[in-house]
Amino acid sequence: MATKPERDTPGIVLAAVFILIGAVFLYDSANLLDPDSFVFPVAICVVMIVLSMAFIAWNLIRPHPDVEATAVHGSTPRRAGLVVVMLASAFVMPYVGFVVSGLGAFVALMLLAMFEPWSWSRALIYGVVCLAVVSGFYAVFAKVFLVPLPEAPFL
Amino acid sequence: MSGLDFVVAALSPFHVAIALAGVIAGTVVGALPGLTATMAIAVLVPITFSMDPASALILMGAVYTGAIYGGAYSAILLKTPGTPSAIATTFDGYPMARRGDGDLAVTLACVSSVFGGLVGAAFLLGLAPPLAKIALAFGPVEYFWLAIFGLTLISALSEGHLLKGLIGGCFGMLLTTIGVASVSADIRYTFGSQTLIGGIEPVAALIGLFCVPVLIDLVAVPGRHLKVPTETRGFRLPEALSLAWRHKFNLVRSSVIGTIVGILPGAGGSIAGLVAYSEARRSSKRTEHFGTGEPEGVEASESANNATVGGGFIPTLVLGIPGTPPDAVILGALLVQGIRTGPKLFVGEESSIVYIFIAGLFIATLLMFPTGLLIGRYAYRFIVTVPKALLVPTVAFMTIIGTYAIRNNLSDVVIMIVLGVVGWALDRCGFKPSPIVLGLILSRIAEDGFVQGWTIGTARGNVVAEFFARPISIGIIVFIFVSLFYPVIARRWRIQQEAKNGHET
Repeated sequence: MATKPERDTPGIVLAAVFILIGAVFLYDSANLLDPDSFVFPVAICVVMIVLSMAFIAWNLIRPHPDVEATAVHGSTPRRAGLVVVMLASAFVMPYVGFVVSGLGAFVALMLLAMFEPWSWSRALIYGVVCLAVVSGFYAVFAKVFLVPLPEAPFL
Repeated sequence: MSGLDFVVAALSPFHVAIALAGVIAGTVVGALPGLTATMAIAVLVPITFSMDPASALILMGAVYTGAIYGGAYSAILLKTPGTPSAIATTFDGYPMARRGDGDLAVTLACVSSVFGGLVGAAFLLGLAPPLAKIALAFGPVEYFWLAIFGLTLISALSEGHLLKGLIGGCFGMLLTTIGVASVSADIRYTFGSQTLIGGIEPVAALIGLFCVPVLIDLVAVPGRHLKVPTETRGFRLPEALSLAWRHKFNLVRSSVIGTIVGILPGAGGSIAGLVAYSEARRSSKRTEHFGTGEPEGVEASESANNATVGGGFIPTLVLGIPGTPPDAVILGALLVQGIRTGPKLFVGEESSIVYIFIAGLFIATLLMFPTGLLIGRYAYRFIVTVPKALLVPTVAFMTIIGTYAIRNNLSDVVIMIVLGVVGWALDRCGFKPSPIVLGLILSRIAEDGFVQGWTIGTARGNVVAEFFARPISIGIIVFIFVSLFYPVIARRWRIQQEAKNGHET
């Protein structure tokens, strides 16, 4: 049995968002006086808006039979947790230093990505790996490549 | 000194040892997202001051060639190009790894990189002075068209949804315009944010759009990251060599493209890989398999990006114009050593330095074969067997420190994570990250070329002629049209032929 054509609603919503983004950029372009600054981005904005409108019109007139939005499987809290931990690590780095924020983020992400039961031996091994990875990367970047990684102000 | 003497001098134990060390160090650096060949060579420069110029060149050349190859590991195993040169490697390398052929993809990348590196070095050896003229023949308009040629790949990467791909490409290009305009130095589209004044760093965006979505999905489910092979299969070298032999024309064509793009100052390995990938896809009999784990895609990208190493040295040594960013650092180191670049470098008293270096580059590229296979095998086994609870934090940590190290800026880290989340959400709605990344990488070259070409055309009183009447531009425009429409025409022709044959039988 043939599937009933459906509208790509997420795609239509995002196309509308792209039109909005293009409009905001076009509006901000009015502040630029030098044509060298705005001729290229304005051209891109116009093309993006036209393409997005074409996408919406196409979907409204001729709905596509296979809506391609990918289904989300798995744990959403873990997904959100990963993003929050990574962002938090970046935001606290100037205050606690690279090593502390790195260790904290590593441990938090390790807990988030763990699907098996913890045991003492596993916790010990993973803890050692955590220390080795963070200190190893710190040594390579700070001491070999001389990258000025944030230091804790209290140290 | 004769040709054989140069080879003997390059084969001295010291030169072989530094070439080996350089290739290994370069491969490891290249595999870490955020760390680039330029950074690795810059760190080495002070060490090279105590060496003779030929040894210094061999060491820096070996690190450079190793780093360009090393980028393939993370591209194949983590969907994160270790260096921008490996962007096109992710398109087919990662799908190969997902289906359990990561070991084959890594070996194939090694074979292709060695082949491309040797072709680039051969051009450097035999045709450097005449080929250097190509660098001077390319003006801003040609760079603009070259970037547009790279963007035609969007049609290939959109998986049948061209409009979404094109919108994504425009979005990527628009992101690059945020910050300080490169031609006029105006501050654009920051909306009062201090964070955005520095603009969106392409490598940080690349890491965010490719790697963060993988991490987001990896942490959510208990299964393994890559399919684990049921039996031990070794390096799968015979299989990789057989594939490379079967696609020998693809390897040769991609290596020549890589060499020529490498000669063009500022173009670099990412464009070389993308253009070679586009051409490989266009001319392949398996066009529709590209993007789903087609070995030809990995071969094209990897042979082209390693060929840029030899190609990039051509304008660097002949004209004193660096072909790629690492070449600029190497040029600086050579000037400190008192070496004066120019055509006379190949025939004058200092020619022995150049020829020993080229022989050393051949040796370093050949050494990349065993070292690349070994490191690649361990990298693959590590990624396949390491528990997820260690893999996720390690990769996330690498993305944070790698992104920070690009400009020593935490804003880049925040932008990287935010773009990763945006990329993940867009992917869920069918807007793939690859076209966005293409737009990000190629936009700067396209804008600079467009604005400069526009200015020159206006000054000459004929903008249209400036863009459409220059011989090289016309050639690239023809390739753009062929690249865009050939697959459609070929498919229709095939369908017609099949229908005709069906009627006859």
